[in-house]
Amino acid sequence: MRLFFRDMLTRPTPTTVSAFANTHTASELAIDIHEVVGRYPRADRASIDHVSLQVRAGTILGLLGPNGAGKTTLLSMLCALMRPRSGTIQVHGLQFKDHPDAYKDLIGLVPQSLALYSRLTARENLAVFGRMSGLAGRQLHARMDFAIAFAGLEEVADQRVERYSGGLQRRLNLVTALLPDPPILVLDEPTVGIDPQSRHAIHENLRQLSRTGKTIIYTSHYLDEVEQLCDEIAILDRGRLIAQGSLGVLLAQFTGNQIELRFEPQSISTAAPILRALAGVYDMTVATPLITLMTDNPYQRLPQVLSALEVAHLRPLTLMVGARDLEQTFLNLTGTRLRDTP
Amino acid sequence: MRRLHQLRAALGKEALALIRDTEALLILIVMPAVFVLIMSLALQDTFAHQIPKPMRLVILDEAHTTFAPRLTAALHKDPSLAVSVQALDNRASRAHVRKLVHTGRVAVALVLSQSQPHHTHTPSIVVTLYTNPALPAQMRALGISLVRQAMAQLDATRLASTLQQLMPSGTPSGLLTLTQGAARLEVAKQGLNGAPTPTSAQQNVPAWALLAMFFLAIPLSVSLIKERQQGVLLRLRSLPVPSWVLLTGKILPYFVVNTIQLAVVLLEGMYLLPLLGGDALTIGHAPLALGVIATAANLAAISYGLLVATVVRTQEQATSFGAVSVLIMAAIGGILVPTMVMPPVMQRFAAISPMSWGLDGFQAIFVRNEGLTTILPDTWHLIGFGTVCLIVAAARFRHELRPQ
Repeated sequence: MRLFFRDMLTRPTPTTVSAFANTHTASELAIDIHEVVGRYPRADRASIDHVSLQVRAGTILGLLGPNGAGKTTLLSMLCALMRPRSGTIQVHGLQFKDHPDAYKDLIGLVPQSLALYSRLTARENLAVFGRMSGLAGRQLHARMDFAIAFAGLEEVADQRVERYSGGLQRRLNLVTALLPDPPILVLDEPTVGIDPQSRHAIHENLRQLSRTGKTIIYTSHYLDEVEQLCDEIAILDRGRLIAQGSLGVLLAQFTGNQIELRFEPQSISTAAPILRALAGVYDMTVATPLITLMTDNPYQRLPQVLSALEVAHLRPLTLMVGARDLEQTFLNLTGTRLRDTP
Repeated sequence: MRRLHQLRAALGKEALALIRDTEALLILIVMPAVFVLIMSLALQDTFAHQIPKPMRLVILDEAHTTFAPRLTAALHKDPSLAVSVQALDNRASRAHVRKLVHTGRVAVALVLSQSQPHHTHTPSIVVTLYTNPALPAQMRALGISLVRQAMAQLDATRLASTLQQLMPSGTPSGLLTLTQGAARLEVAKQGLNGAPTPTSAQQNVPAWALLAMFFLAIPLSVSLIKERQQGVLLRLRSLPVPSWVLLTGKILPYFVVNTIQLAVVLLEGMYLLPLLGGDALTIGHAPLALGVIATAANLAAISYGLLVATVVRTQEQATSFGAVSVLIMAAIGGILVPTMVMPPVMQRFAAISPMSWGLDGFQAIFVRNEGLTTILPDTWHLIGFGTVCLIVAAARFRHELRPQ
């Protein structure tokens, strides 16, 4: 805990972050994915089905989707770990097949797993991956020093990684990808299994990096952190891109068809069949004491809902039209059915 | 220059990971040493009391007399059934016999030749007995004893027959015939090419050292599987690092470990074993040849380890498949059970095990004092095996690193 507060106090200033500043302008297209299809060998269907996605330089894009939606496949293709069956991916104008080394130099991957040598110290890990990225000499040492400071690992830099807490390991995992100063950072659930303080620290690091012009692709199952962190959000489901835009745009565009009513718990069993039978209600979920109706036009259907309840002598305690947050929008778009059950 | 930095990183991280895992490193180096010590001492006693399956004995008749078939028949009559006797074709040469004995396919060889004793000017038969250099002392003694016994029987028969012929005629000059046709057994004190007779250590130390070398397949493959499971390989795949850099990073540190392991085991055989009452290991007089066969065996073992690493998917598979496959190679190759005590069918199989090539090479140097020329065929076999394993492993690893 003491270490964490020290980290918070010694977090690098924006001036320090400028070491990672990129030359790419914000208006430039950092990532251009066009009609990409991805399919694993012997798979029945494509994991990514004709997805097109553009990301401007300097954007933090939250990539969301239920389990099995195709997020990891899309990231794998972006990081040249998987070959698209068709379509093209350009990163700052380069395609992997034409410039494999230069393409890889543009992207720093932060894998979901802690991709570190646990028996080595942080400094040794950084040296290994720095050299693997092509760094050497003073340049390597300068980047290592910066990465250690950026992650707040100065006091533990010479300790073996296996002795680190989960939060420290995650921060090292992040800065290892930053060593070669790539303009694009791809993070696959970087905050899994860590405490809120460490998560907050990582978010702060990412915001600083974003201010220097880095493009960040961020996947997470914590929708609240995507909501707070990301400029743009893309939602994948069943291999297709079903929504993309800023949080405000998504909330406005995809949540207008919902009516949420809160009742006394004993009224739920009476209210549910009445509401389900109304014209224009195409879906309904009951989670006592809430009933959520999906309608074709909520404002038009609202008087009809209220009069039907009046006839049955039922009165909702609260009533809300439209989704409350990104999670609700996400569920509206992708449904509530579990995706990873057999 | 970039590749050089990458290679340095690959070597450095593997070496550091090995050094930091003190327990594993100790197991890699100390365990084989302990194993060699125990097995060498234990097998020394075991061999001393062991009566193996019938020893194979061949007879080469260069004298072309009737003595050879009579000796063969006498040996066949041996009630102990300790030997299986085969008279070689007259066209066979001493070189063929040498090969049979040195490769362990026969335990004892008898070469029958004629000598011209000075005092009688009468030709007599000289039976020269050769044994496989690695034959345990008790088995060797048994072979000699059986041959002596058969020859004594023949002598007794011949004397009785001669006396029977002499008695009626009463011709004293007939006594001269008693010495005619007598066969004399000469036990070769040295191998067919003059090498000193072997010790138990010379058989067992290189054998178990080779087994330990090939067992390195397990930690090597586990290290690669861990990189795969922990996501490190995923990160490396996302970097512009060619597969050969990563493979070289694996090969060289483990090569050093294997070399240290072999040196420890050899030194142990030379200096520690005799202190504990075992046979001292003598390593011949061909350090270059020793270096060559050790390097070839080392590379073959590491390449096999890489092959296992790229074939299996989990640590459980690596440990079970790695251990079982190495033990099978060891069993076939005369490491666990000396080739000479195997039945002929199994002896033929021995030639397909890389460990038998290594063992042959080491024994040529240690036991028969031979040099580089002799061990070259075994060396080429090991290099060939290692190259095939490495090519397949490199192809699989390259495929794994490429975008799928």
